[in-house]
Amino acid sequence: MTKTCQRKHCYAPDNSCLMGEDDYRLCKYWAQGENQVEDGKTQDGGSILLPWSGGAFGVADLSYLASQTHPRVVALIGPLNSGKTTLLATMFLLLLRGKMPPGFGLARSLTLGGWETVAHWMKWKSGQGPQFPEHTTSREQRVPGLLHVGMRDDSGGLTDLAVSDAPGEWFRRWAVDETAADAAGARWLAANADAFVLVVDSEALSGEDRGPAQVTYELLAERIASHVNYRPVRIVWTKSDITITTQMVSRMNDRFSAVFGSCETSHITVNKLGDLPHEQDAFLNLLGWMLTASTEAKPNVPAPVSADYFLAFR
Amino acid sequence: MSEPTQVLILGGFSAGKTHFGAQLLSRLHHRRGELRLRVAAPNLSLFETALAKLSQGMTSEHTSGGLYETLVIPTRTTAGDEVDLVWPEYGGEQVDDIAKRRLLPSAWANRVLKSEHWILVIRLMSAKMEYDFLNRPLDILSMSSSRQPSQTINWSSQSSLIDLMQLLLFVKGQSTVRRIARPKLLVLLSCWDELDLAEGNKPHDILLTHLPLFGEFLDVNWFPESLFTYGLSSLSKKLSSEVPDEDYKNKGPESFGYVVLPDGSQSPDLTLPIASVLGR
Repeated sequence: MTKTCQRKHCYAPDNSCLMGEDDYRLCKYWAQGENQVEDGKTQDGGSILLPWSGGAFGVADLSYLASQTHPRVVALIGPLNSGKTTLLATMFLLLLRGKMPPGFGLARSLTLGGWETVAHWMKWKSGQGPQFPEHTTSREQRVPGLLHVGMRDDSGGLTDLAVSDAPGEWFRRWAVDETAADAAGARWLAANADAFVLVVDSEALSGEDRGPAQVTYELLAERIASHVNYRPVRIVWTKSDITITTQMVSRMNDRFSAVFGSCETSHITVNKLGDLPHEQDAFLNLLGWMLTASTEAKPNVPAPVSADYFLAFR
Repeated sequence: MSEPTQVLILGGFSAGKTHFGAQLLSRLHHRRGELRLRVAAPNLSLFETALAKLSQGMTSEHTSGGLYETLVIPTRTTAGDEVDLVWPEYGGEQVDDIAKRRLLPSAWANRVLKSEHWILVIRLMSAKMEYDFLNRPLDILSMSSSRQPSQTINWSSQSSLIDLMQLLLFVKGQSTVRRIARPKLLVLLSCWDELDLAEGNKPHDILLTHLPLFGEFLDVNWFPESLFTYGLSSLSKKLSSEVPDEDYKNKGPESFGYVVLPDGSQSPDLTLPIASVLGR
């Protein structure tokens, strides 16, 4: 469908009119005279359109949430095939089973279609077994975007969380060239995320190409660190059932702690997850961290070294 | 005189609304339950076949699609309050369609706005959990086998139900930022006999077992005093659509059907859940 509203960030008739008109065609920003076919979505007079489509959020969609709460954005960062989407899909499958991060319960999600899309690869479909989610690209049906859950805590307060589901290429490009044209999404996340999750692929770091993989992670870690600006970072080792040499683990840990200082770490795997409640808890705890991780205490302002007592007054 | 309270009865295609409606109507006609008929309903053509079939102990065919009319049954509580039971669209296909089309017809929207009491009819047997790698694991190594990409993605029942509720709340102007006291919500788990449960099972526990995320979503959003879960068996037993049931012919369909109360006990008064939502 061609977008014909002239107003920036207005996606009528996909969503409701940004200017609040019940009928978007009456809005002054609606392009006149373009009666394009709206693939069956013709609006009959008084129907009410919803402000969310169910698919993964774009950046502009966050404004709907931002009008109600302060949505937290979490950047899920990792190279190609590191397991970012599988991680999201697994979280959703656990939620579907009523398994919640400690102290929270699901109050809403405006991207259920987006969640279903990532999770559908892990379901059994007429004889075909589950498989790892399709590679995320920006060209296909799977539009990279933000997946939303609104979680209510025990006190009744609501936390809206939007986690990025973006292709690994973005981050690889961004790690190499910060200003790369195809890394715009990564730059947006670096600027706007409230917390970062670095997804570390145990398989890549144990395989033949562990050398190059390590370089990729070093570049990525440095790049994140240069933007993190006291925002929380968590290292998540995926496919943790795969054995990595202890030298490699300690080399990576040394690199991460040199770059980020002390930061929290998770080890997750989907292998035999159905039988392992504590492995499931690792996913739920990670989700809990995404909901609550707050900016680290900034370092104390050093006392000014000056003979002037006015400047020393704090 | 104030307008009658509107109770909205919602449910997807094949949720069991026809048999519930027909059996409810025969209860109302017999004037023994918590709700009584106020005047005869203006138009009962939607129930005509079901009533005739049930009197012989047979099930009726599914209500054909395209029945977009609104059905209203005017009733009165034992306390004398006027209550209209409203089926906004009988076929139930529009309900399923709303999530896909992301449009709510205006006739619907008006009903939603006017009503402070919603009844959601869910048939658990048709809203089962799907199989995925958590409940039917596959050796991890064989998981990378190729599958045709871009299959159509079917939403799980739980996602569809949650989105339906979010949508209705949005139209109602009720945000989920805070917990909800109004509209009150009654979840009616239809075809309870299909589930083959021992007596004493609490409907809300069964909802949480079968639809854990949806149940969680309701618990998290509604105040407990505004959320009700009842079981419903409109027919008490499985009937055939071809072979008449002798019991039904002898005792009459009004002798069959029961509701399961929140504490797990049963009552033959099908109007009881509706009355309890209105009550508090």
